[in-house]
Amino acid sequence: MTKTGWHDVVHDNQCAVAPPKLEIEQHLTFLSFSPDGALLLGSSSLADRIQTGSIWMFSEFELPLRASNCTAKRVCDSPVTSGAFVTSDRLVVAEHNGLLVSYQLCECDSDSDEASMNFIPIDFNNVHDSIISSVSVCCQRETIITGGDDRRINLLDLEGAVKTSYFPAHSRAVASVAASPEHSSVFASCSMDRSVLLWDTRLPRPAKAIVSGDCGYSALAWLDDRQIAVGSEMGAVHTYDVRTVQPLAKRHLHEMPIHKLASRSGFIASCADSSEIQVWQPDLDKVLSLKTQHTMFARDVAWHPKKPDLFSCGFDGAVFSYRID
Amino acid sequence: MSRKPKNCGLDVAVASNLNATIQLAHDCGYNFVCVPLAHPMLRRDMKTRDVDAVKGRWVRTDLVLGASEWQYRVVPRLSPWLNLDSPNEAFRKNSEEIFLQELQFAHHLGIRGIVMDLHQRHNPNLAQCLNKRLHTETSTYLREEIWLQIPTSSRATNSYRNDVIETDDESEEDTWHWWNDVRLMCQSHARLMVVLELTADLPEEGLLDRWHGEPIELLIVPTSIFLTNKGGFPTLSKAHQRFVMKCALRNTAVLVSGANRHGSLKHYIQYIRNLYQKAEVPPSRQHDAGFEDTLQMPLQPLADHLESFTYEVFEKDPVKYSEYGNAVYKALLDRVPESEAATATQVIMVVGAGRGPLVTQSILAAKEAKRNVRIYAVEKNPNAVQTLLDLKKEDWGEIVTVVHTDMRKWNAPEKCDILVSELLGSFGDNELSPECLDGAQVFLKDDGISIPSSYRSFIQPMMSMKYYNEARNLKLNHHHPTGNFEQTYVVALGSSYMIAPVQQLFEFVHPNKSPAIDNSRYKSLKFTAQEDSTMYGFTGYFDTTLYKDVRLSIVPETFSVGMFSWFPVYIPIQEPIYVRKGEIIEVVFWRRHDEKRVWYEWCITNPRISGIHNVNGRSSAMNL
Repeated sequence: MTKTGWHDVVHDNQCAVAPPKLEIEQHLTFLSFSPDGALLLGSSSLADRIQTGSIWMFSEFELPLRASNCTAKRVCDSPVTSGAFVTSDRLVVAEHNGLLVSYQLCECDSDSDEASMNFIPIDFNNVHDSIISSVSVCCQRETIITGGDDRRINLLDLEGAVKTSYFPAHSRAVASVAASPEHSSVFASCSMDRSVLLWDTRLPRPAKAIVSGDCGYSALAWLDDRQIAVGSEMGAVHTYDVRTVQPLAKRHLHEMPIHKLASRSGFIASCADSSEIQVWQPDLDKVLSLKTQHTMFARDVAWHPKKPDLFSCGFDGAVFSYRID
Repeated sequence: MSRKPKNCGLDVAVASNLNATIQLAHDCGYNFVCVPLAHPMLRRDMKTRDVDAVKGRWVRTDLVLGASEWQYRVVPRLSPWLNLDSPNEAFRKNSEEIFLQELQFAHHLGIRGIVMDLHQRHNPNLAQCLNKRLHTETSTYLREEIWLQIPTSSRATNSYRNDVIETDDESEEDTWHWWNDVRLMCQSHARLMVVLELTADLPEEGLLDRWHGEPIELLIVPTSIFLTNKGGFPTLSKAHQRFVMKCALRNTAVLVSGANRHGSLKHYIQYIRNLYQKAEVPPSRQHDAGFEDTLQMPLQPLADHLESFTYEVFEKDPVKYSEYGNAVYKALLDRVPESEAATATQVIMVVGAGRGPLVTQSILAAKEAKRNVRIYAVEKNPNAVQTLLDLKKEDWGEIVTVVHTDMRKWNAPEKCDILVSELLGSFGDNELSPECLDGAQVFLKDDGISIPSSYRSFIQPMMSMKYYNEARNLKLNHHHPTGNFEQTYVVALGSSYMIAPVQQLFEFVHPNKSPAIDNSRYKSLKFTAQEDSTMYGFTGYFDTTLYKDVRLSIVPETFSVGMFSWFPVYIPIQEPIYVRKGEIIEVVFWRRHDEKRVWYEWCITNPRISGIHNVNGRSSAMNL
């Protein structure tokens, strides 16, 4: 497949078979679970002569993760920034040059390889002028939302083709986009421009501010269709009622800016520009400080869809899990 | 005179493979790339490095490029996530440390400048950190500059918002203040530059023009602001074109930024190169090429003898001497009616004849007018007199008498009808023409004509951090510590913005018939600032009436097209003064003298009082 990208830097062989790569790279940038509990891990090398990226899937796994135990792996064209399952065998992965690649998971034909499945690239699209900072899949699974450092937000179809583009959506880099868990036309976005916006794509002027504060906002997670958690530059997490646009609860969880949030049944997990992981129960205003062994910045947190386990990954190359009862 | 960008670069959001990116940019016609120094996703703190040195690596090795490639092919960017003015103290401190870490590495690489994107007006802590870096000289020969990226209009947008009213209002933030505040906090440091990012919406032209007074190192043209023409090629809106073509006058380097939307990235730079070539140079700037923005000391032809090279340059002016010829021609016709043409002989004295161009013009004018003349060529420079004597023998013949003397001391054998001189400097009287002609007019007949018959100086407040820094950093032998700001400089105007329209300062008329001749002057002028701006001094010009309607001018509005003998002057002030739109700038100028010298003094009285510059001519004066 050849295709003219937005960037001349995109190689034509984007979807050609990549050379085998044996090791998970050090800079783990994201982790994400499929509905049935498979773990997708994004790894990159951000300080090497040539910066590379790869994606890894583990269906059944134990920690520490080993490359040899993966279910599927793929070397990407460049560092990977974000990824999400669309269905249990379809996923999208964002690369740092603004490229969004959609993959199909397929069983391997031969069993010579240790991996039993392959990521088969279906399509790729240059949807941003810069790093794609955040990818979110809407609840009806028919739209993918991306936000980038180029201040753009895109709505894409499942192949990755742009349906709608909002530019400039924010006055600084879009830090996070998050689709509503209930309404397929609703999503939220936040930025270091000190605003959190709620979007309803059915409207001609779709956005309104949930927060217009005095610091930047860097992470988002929906608690349910009514409440959203927002992480700030100050290291605080706030919850808001999106219908009334009223603040509900606030907790200062980290000293440094929040990087990612993940919520499940009353728990909000957070990581920041530090090695700590926090879990907050806003209803009880209770904080569980997790003993993490990350030695460098933790970069993502995700809840296992079937077990009471939280997972985190970091720039130290490690993945840890925490049982939260 | 074809214009082209000094340098053309490609702004790349991230580069996995720096060598490949440089090669790709080169293939598309770009000779450098602008890339993040550290990967923008690689957020970190200084502790990280201590935990594990190998895992704590934060930047690709310098070995990927040779030292000169780092210097000429790469302009790095500071990490975009840094926020030195964060309300979060821990994050602010972390940003400070990483800021320093990246600047030190950039210094290690020997790069020329590093780009930092500004997002807001409030940057005091950034300014403090910049100062710390700018005033720490880590090396005497490599001093990287810091280039602050500023958008032409605020990036804020409400067009998608349903909870705010969309307004096309003037209250939109003026991004120039983002830059102005930082540079004033950094004392207008010479190593601070602007990277100006063109935005889709441009502010009105008056605001946009102000950027031409700023040290623009790079002009960023995002691919997203290009339109597509019928042929499918990228093109810019008329307003964007106008601005780019004005930047062409300074050959500003261009950085194309963003993804390729028109087939190939090479189309963008080809388009911009075309715009540069099409740029029209205003008449007053057509002969500036190669001299723009270089401060020169004014000549002192009265005190020093000019050299052959200087004479030769000025004699080539195609306009000045033909206008002098015109003036002599008209004066001859006025003084001698047709009926006396055969009998009357007019006496012309050329005082300060130099190597004789005015003598030649006078002879040509007389032939044209069919009038008889007798010419005295008076010159004090003994070296130039040799040329005059030769010209008399070879070309002029007996109608010319060469006199080697100072015109102020000459005992002329007869009185003349027409006294011709070219003693004017860029600021009119600044080469002491009034004093010289007062001395020479004793041998002008009572009804005689002086060419020039009058001249005026003009000033206007201006913004140019570049001239200010050039003046500040020149190595001159002034006794007074602020001496560099107490003299005038000759400069071909490039990087300057005029804050208010020109006004006339002093005027001198010849012959001067007043009983007590006084060439000292005092004048106060009021200007109204057209936009918020920072005043770094004044631009000075002059015009002259040679005879009746024959005029020469270097004032931009009335410029004598094609003339190149004079560049304007820059008159600095010691402390830049920030002025708001509509504010009155009040300035006082003096022309003072004693027995041996003539000098100017100046000060600002509104909106802020400045000290009086060049008190008693302590730093600069013209010697009599």
